[in-house]
Amino acid sequence: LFPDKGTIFIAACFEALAVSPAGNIEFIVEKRRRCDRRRAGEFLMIDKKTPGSSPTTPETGPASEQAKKRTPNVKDHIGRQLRALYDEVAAQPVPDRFMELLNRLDVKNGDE
Amino acid sequence: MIQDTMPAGAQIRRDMVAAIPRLRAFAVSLCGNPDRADDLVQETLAKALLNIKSFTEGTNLMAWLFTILRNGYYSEFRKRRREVADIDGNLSGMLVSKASQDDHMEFLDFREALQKLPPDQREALILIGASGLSYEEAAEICKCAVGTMKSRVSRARSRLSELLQLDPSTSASHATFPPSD
Repeated sequence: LFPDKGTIFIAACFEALAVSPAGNIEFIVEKRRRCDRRRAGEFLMIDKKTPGSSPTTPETGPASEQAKKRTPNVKDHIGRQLRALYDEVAAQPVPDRFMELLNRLDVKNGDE
Repeated sequence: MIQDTMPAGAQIRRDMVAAIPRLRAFAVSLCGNPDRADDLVQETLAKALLNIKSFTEGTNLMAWLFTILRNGYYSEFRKRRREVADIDGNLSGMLVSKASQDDHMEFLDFREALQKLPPDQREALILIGASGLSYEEAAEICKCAVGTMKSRVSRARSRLSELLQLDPSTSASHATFPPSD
């Protein structure tokens, strides 16, 4: 289905070695994953340092264009959901048990 | 009178009280269970007060508290590894969502997906995406390089979008390329 997977991987390795110390396997593997994703038009989370038109991804066409348009929405969507969860708890009043705990420990410390 | 004799730690204590809402939010997002989250916060505050001398005044108290909470979470995580986080029951009882039913369903899916992330990716996403900390601060809390932090956030977003099926082409690509790790 993806006959040039090996080529993509090797190209990604060279790209990785060009910007990071040689032997940084984790970085290369991550690069490769991104490459795979990019090829599949799945999700575009590319570091800013990666050039917009990467030489390792010759793909152009409606699928990748759609993916590019979608990416900010996915990021925004995740960000909104995350903050909704976080902010809803953060907006709640501090439970009494914590204030009691702080007061109790303060007294103990004061006695020292 | 009281202000004149206020001990040096009083300001820290006030800051600590002010930090509690964010600590709870961090803990709930991290472990997915409000009861355990509050236990974690309680433990964090107790440890912080007992070790207050090791805190350097003027440095980032929030980051210090997040670090203590995170350490507590991971030591507990190792103990309770086999337990499954209670995602649906407790949290939905704690949160009062004003959203419509559809939004609410979506919200539950998101929380479920968040708990399916590896913990290092989840905490990275929360610290950067919700708590408002910088990459540098988050990296210090998690004791990793800034680049690692960025990579974790990126992978967390990517994995979440898969889990939430935010992209229609996800399932097809997933079948072709299983993760290599």
